[in-house]
Amino acid sequence: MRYNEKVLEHYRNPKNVGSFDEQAENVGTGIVGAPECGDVMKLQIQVNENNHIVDARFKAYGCGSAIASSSLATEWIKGKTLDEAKQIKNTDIASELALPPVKMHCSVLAENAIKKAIEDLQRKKAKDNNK
Amino acid sequence: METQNLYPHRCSKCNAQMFSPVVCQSCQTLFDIERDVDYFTMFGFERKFDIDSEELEKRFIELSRLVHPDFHSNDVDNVMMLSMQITSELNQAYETLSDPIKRAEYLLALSGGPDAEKDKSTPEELLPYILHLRESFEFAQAQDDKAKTDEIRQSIKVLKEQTEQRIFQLARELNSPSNDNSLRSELRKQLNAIRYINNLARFVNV
Repeated sequence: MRYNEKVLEHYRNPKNVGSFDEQAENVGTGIVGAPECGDVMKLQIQVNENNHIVDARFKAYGCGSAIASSSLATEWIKGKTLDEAKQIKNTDIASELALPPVKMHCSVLAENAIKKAIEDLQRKKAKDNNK
Repeated sequence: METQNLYPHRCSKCNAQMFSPVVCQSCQTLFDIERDVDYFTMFGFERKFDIDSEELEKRFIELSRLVHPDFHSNDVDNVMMLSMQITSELNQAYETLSDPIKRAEYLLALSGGPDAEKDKSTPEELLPYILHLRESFEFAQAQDDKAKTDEIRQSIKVLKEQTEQRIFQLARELNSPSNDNSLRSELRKQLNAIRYINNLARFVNV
């Protein structure tokens, strides 16, 4: 199977690779995995006081499609509100990257990672408000 | 380990005692087995986790010989086809049963448990720990810190062994008739875990 050119571009030059401090109050972290293939992905968002995502980082240990999906996901969520970011669907990622059916789960992983990162952030904020 | 023949049937052609439903070792007649014959039954074993691996290999070789297409090349076409079909099933069955992790996975499926696609759960804190080990390994490697990379390899080895032991223990319990859903989900969880751990182990050459 050959990778689509867009997948290769993200794979060769992944955007936003790295980490933020997980403990920071304006950072949400989502760690997800696909047991079918053993891929693991971490996606982090950083928000400003208006809950706009100002920056995002990821680390993905897996195939080219998993890396490309998470790289694209971090690009897409930057500048979005949390609610807007939640609307991103794995199918959007898959069609942008022209992922074949056997690689669909990579885009699912990216969508789940975004959701988990947002949940993590909201949990932190809720805790904060209860203090 | 005591090995017993759990396929107490006689050949419908020559009436000899059979040990596998796929072929009669006496008259070499091949049988088109129904789909619901599981891999354990194919080798004349009881459907349980612990099997005698030497005996499994012995039976695999014996059955492969009896079923081999070369021995049936003079038979009519449909028997020749059957010979190839059974050979492929035997290979599949042997590959599954000879690997304890695949055997546990197979037993879970037979018991009606979920597959990895249906139930992706993992033990709590496993994924962050996997990420942590991987990142620390990469960092230590970049620093050429041999003591540290060895230490991380050792941690991964221990994690792998512990998880395997847990899987074997759960797969043995699956055998008992009282097995419940929580046992099946726990086994699923550990089988999911071992895939991440094996990926990591391959990465660090453990």
